[in-house]
Amino acid sequence: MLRDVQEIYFLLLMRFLFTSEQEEALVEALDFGISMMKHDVMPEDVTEMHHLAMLRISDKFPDLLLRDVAGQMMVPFMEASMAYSLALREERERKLTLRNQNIHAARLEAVGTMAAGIAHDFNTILGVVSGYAELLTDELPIDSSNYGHARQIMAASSRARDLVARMLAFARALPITPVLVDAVSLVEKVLRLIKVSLQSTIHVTFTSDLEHAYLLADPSQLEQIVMNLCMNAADAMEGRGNLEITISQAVSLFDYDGSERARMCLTVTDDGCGMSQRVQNRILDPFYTTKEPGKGSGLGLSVIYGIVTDLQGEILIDSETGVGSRFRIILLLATPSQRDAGAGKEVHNPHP
Amino acid sequence: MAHILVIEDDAQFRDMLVYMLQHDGHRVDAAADGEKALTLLKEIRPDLIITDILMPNMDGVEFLLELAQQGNATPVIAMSGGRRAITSAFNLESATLMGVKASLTKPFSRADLRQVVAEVLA
Repeated sequence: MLRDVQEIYFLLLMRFLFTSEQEEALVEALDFGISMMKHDVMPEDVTEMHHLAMLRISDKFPDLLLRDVAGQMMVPFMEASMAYSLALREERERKLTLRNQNIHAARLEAVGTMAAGIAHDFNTILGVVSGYAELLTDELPIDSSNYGHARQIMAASSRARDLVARMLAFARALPITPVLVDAVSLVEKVLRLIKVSLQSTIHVTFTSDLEHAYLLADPSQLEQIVMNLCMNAADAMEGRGNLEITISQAVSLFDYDGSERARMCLTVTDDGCGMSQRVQNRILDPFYTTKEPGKGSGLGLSVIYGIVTDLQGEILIDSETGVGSRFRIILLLATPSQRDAGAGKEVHNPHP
Repeated sequence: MAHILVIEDDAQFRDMLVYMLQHDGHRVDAAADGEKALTLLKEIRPDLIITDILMPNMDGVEFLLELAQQGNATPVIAMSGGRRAITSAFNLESATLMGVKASLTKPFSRADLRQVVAEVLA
């Protein structure tokens, strides 16, 4: 690498000194300076490069008196080294800004995570403070000073509650941090909830070809996918039918670098009323719903679509009127290194 | 006036709720978690259950699930203090089917409690 740098610079100097293309050589020197920074050439190597080039020219042209050309040789060197220094400084400033931004983002995230973690306990304690203050106001004479004091406690509790609400709103606005989650145990858990909700005339089965299907995702989003698909299927079956959920291996994808990414397929099949082609074409649109007014928001499937797309997954829909529907969600499985890195942070029971 | 079962792990909050409800003339029983509540429910038949969602041992979701599997018909008011408790895994749709008629977000006022209790019992 360094040898290339020296060679290019030597040729550049030759071009500047011994041809009529001095302007072009200077433009080249400027680009060369920036390029040296991008290739992580060290400042001392830049000086060394000029020194070596001078020696090579002396060797090549023994009759040439160095003092005659030394001043002239400085011109392309200055051009290249100035461009190099400026680019280096810009790069260092950019890295510093990025580092500061990262520190800032990490701090904000810590605040949000902490708020979410303590909100329940903190609000319970606040409930005790404001509740007993309220009991006091109910039992004290309105014209007593103690009544006023108790009202102040209630007002302060109310301010604290607003502060927690603001911190929580902030935590919600933070980007979701994916964790390692086993889709098989997650589906089992959600189905336990769903089975209770569904009429007993809906027969629910779940089978998985994989013992575990580890994904990098937000567990609550995955729960939402499973819950929504099953609830939609139940609606389509109008209280009677078979709801079949499966997890299987899907066809792998190949990354640009040739590495293989294993994928899984979550399939939710029902033998309900099915959908016409016209409905299928619009089913992923936001606010589109086939339910009666007031029954569906029309956001379920468009939300699922958003989540799946964010996870670089795919949704496949097959449906036939009167026969039923099949929704297939194809998601990337975590790579072995992601699995190892996330093993400590694995989520089995993702409650808040 | 009604017979109410309060399930709350925080002793101070639980005592306060019991006091408030008793002062409104209700008969009140209390339990510190879902497991204790299930044991208590073998002996009592309350008109209303008010339960916290996040609790140690058996939390509110597990408790409601168990209750629903036993064919519970008692109306439930769910209390929560933070995000996600009612919106996500325990989503409103299935919560309703598990007997949850209303929810209260901590901290709530005595007036809110009275109003929600009255609405659910009506």
